[in-house]
Amino acid sequence: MSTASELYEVNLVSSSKLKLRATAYLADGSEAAVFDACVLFHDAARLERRAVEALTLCPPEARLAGSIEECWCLLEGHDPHAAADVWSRILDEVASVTRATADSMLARLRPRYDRAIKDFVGSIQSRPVLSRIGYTQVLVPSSAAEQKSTLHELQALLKRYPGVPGLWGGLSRLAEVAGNEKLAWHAVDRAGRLSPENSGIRALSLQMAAKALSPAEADQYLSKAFSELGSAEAEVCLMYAFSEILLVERSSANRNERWKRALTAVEVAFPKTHSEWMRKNLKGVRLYLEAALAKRKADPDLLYRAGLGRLAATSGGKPIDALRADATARVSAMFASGAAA
Amino acid sequence: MATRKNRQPPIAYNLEQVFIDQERDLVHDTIAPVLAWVPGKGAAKKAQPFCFEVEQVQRGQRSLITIELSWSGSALESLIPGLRDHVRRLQTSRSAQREHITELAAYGLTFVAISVLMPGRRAKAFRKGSAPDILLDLTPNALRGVETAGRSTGGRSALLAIRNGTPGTTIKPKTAGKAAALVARPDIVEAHLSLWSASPRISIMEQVKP
Repeated sequence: MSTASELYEVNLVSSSKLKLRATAYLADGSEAAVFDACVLFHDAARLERRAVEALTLCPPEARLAGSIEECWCLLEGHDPHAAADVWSRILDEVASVTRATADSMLARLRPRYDRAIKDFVGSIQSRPVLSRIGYTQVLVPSSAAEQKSTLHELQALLKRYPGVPGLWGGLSRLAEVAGNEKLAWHAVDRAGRLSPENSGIRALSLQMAAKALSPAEADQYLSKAFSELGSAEAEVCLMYAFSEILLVERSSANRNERWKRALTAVEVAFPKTHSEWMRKNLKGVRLYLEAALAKRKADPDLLYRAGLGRLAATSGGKPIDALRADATARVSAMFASGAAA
Repeated sequence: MATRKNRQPPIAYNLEQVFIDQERDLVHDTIAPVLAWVPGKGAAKKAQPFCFEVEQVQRGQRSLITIELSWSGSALESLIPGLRDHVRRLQTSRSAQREHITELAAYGLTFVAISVLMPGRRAKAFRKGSAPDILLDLTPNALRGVETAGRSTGGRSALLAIRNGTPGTTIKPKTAGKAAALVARPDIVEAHLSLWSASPRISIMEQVKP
């Protein structure tokens, strides 16, 4: 047996075990068990994709079968949003097999998919605030009353669709803005469990860990992230730096070590970044950390010196807070567009 | 369906044996649902062995075999710690989802049937989005497997409706038969149906392809 087909089989066997375990969690039916099932179905969906990708010469029927299984896993994992992405691929792959083959292979999935999407669209349209977000792309409204109603609608939608990582990410942002850091952490942690490869979620979870967990728990969470910075994306490194700075603000213990680790993260991030806003933000954080480590007061013109004149002109308060708020908003937007793409 | 019918001697099977005959990791999560689903409700139905009348159809030959299924609660508990509590939760919890219990129990009984009626063959993988559910051979475009379904009630007529499909009515849409769907698939070279009814305890095991 070739290595490619071995990899194909290993991924399918691993996925099979996860699917059976996930179905057992669905049978249990409790809220926590259903969420665990969603996580396992998402893991299984990724394994199904890897199985097909392992085959260099994959017959079109096997490729289509892999996508069908991936789509089904995401539907079982209460994530019609991600299932819709796979459905687009399925429609492409159908063109490579005969009509009769496609019809027989899709006989189980098609009605299930159609029903799920109809329900999902109906659920969103029946919630006016969420419906509006779909058009405006503004997740965090400016008024407290609107924030509250958005939060309630998101929570209600998550009861039906606990497998959509974007909904948990949105809930986390709203809860953070509302000052409910425990809920914000819980939500971003769930988003991360569903979508561990999403760097935006990982980045936001670091900041929420620093805000919501006890210093000891946060340190444990951050130390794992620090050891993985070498392979992490620039946004993860940047948010790691902010997390250490946040922890210094919560407690001055070990502040020099924290600032040094933050500066290391900034230096690791520089060569990885491809966006102008992040390069400028990193520059600003570096200026802040260099001043802190030299026991100097942060330069009041720090934002201008980092090339962030507009941010300097529109933000009051401390420059580091402006940098953090700007980075959080941009990483959230990256995550949201990744989740929607 | 074939017309010739032979009654074979009953086959006793201990559920613990399925951990040896099949992949442990695949079997593991189906055991609690089997224990919750097979006995049904009422004390009279709970006496072991649980006898399933299995109608086996292979290459046009039809035979009737009784599978006498039994288990040792303590032996299974040693294989799956917490099993008794899990079974109790599945039987009594208000949050338990019956359709998934039935689904998993049918997979578990299919593992038993593969062990008993296809000796030496082992399930390798499990699939949900397209038939067959249980794969014996994963070779792309040459799949071999067993398509499974379970019904809590309805007996043979309910199982035949799954096999053959049902015409649409004013309240229910038409359903396609599983046998024809398997035959139509060019990427499947060998397919079996494994259909189970809990009350009465009846099963159809049929090789539909080749």
